[in-house]
Amino acid sequence: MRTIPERPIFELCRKDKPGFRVHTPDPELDNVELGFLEREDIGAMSQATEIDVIRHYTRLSKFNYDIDRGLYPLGSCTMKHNPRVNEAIAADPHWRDPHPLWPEEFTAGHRAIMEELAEDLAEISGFDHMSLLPAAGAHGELTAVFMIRAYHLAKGRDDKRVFLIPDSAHGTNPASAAMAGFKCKEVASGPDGYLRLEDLEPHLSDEVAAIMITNPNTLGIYEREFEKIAKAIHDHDALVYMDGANLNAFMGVFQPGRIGADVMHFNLHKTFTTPHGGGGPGSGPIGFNKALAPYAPEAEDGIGPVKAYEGQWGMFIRAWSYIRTLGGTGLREVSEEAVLNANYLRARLQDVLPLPFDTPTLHEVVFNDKDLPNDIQTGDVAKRLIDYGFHPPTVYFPIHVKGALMIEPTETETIEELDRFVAAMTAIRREADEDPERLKLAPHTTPVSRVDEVLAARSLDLRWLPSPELA
Amino acid sequence: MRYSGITERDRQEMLRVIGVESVEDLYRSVPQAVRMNRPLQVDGPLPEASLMRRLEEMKGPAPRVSLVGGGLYNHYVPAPVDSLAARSEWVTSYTPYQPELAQGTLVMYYEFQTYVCMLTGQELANGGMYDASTAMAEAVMMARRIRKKATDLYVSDAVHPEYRRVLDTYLQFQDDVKLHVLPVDPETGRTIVDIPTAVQRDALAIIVQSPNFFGVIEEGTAVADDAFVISVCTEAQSMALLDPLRADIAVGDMQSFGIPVQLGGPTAGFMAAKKEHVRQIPGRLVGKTKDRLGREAYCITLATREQFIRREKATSNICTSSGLMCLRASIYLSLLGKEGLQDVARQSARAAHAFSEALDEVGLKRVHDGGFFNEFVVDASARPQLWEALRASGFVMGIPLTRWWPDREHQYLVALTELHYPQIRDLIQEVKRHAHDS
Repeated sequence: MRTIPERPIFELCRKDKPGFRVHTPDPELDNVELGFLEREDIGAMSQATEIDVIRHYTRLSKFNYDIDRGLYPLGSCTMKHNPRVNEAIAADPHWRDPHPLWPEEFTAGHRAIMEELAEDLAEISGFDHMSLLPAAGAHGELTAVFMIRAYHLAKGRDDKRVFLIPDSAHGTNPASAAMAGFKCKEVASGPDGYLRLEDLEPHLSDEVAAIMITNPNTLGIYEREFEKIAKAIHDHDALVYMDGANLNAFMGVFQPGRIGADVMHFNLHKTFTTPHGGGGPGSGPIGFNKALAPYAPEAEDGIGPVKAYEGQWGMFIRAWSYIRTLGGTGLREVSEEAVLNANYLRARLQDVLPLPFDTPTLHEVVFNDKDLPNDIQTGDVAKRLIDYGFHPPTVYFPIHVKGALMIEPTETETIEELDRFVAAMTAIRREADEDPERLKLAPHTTPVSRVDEVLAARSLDLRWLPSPELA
Repeated sequence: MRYSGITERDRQEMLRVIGVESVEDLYRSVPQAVRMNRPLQVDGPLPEASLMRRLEEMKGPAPRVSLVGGGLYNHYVPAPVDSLAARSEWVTSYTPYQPELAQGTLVMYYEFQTYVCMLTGQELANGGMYDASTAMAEAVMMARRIRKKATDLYVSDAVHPEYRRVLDTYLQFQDDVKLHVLPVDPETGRTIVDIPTAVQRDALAIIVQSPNFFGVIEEGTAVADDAFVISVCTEAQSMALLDPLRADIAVGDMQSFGIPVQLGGPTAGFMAAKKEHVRQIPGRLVGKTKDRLGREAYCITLATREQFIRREKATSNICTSSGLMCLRASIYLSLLGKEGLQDVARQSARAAHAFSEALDEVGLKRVHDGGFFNEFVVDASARPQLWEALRASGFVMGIPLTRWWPDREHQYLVALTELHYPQIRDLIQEVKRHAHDS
């Protein structure tokens, strides 16, 4: 791999390089007066040649790890194979180029696909109502949180201002709740890694507006008191928000909308294979029950739109295509094999890494760094995995497990790939005894070695600036 | 199941290693009472070619000509953009939490931040928002953090009406914010800022869009020098030719730079601001740093503002955003540079101005006389049948404004881009022919 640093594109750009031109000039049309003064200064913007641009972004791309290269076992992220047919379909100009404000006869096919997708998500989740509008999972949470606030206000309950959030929750949960003015109260998980009604009860009061609960939770553990908790919450006139990030564990197994959840978001960029794109775009539809339907973004007196236009169409058509490729039985098999793969890794790794909870797990499993020799920590194991050709698992999350290593293999991995990962982990565990320095200084094979994140925050450099001779 | 590589033999071996009889046993923690006892009823499974055929059957007509803009614009996408952005290292990678395995994505965000700064004239930009509508709402939340005591928010009536609805959604539970609408001069189409300087200075923010929703360039507005301004730009191509508004926070959308319309999503919202607000800006920031051996490297920084560290005290809940769309914009801008960008922007503007003049000749007047870039409002009441007649022939001449303003009957928001530049004479001829018939 090339290890010469790839400088930002601006250093390949020059005013005298031939730039890209779209159309041949039309001298007659170019006489048209524009009636405004043209801007002179656009920073130091200039152009690179096509070959420079191609090489720059190709070389940069090679510094990235991607799911097409190998296992990407980030817990809670569901990094599964992104089918190519979805990409081909989404790139078809007929589906890709329409404008949401075209007269309806030109987008009838798009509307049909959106309706079918909404029906499929309703069937998978057990919710009768759906909004496809939110742009990502956290945005779906926010939409639901707004709806919950509107629901209580309509009942004259301005005093319902508290959200209960388990210590195992994703960070987006409390952040979303806070954006609608709710106060967050953290609830500790029980000793076996799931939430117990008895631990929740002291927090229950008339002020509680909702609980946000991930099921299976971020330890991969099914919340076995879910129904009891939902009932206790409902008895306090509060609502149950289910974080749907872990839907990949239970398609066709249970439907949250039928077991006490009132609203849930989907991550089309996790369970439904729309690619993650290095940090988006995502898509975060929400499903909800009849009681919340009057407050939906689309409802006449609802909360109003959370995004302009229709939502992330480019993701809808990919998810629609994925669901049709698999069918109902196939979706159930997705979850079963995701759970099988995760449990296989758990069984093979439990003698290699400490397992803080003995409770059964579904699609992911959390290890930690307790009692690793020579002060080896989770971060060292993660960075050393890179040298063995793997992306590390999610690290230091969930936050209530010290030194957590959270592994989610997904269903699209083969036993051979999982065995290679186990072999790498086993070798690293041996190195922790025999050659700890090798771990502490890892990675050794990447274009850059361990990155100084403290320096980045201390001396902020957030944009390229021309050096004096370039300016 | 398609996409699975687990054979029956593998399955048996894996179950043996786990120490259970069946996959069913792995679900033993899920009580029977909550289980589904029937298969999921969804269409499929469909093999690849059957799926493709199904989609072919769902295709309906497409317009021949679209002059529809209103915040989303069909522009030419250079071939290298599609080619590079389809590389799986960009498409199938995660958010760059492990910088040693994501220097590509990190450098890209750093470049994107720089491009946003160059175009907006700001000092600081983040690594993208979902889109401009949510970026505008988040900008107001950010203004709330910066100007804690201020409560009066002024929004121009010429800010995109769909963005304003999104803002209303975000603000509906912030009881102390008072929203005021700044009127638009019916002649010029520009925002009238008719509030005293002292009131402006104390305001939470003044939101102005330029070119505004009616396509009119906002210039000469009486915004006080010390008012807190949030500027909005929906047609990013205009930034090639127009000086940015003075703003404390600048938001908008990069959709015009190599990102297809896609029925409105995904696009790439942006947010830029003064450097002093760095700790209040939402979303990802990528910074340059060094690796262990002192080499140049990049990583996500100031994550202590973000939800995964800061939880309920975060600047926003935003997590997955618009990475791949930011990449497309960065590639597009690198190819075109200042000259190429200004060249293509002039072609859009000239097509629009030529079209506007031609409409004028058949009695379809522009509603406003303020300067415009590539979008304008036309009053078609002189030819009340024209828009429908064109639509029936597959020519969509803009957006009827009655969608948002019932009293603006026969007014259409018309947008042209460089795609119309080489065919402008044909378009003009076609409209004139229909105009004489209607």
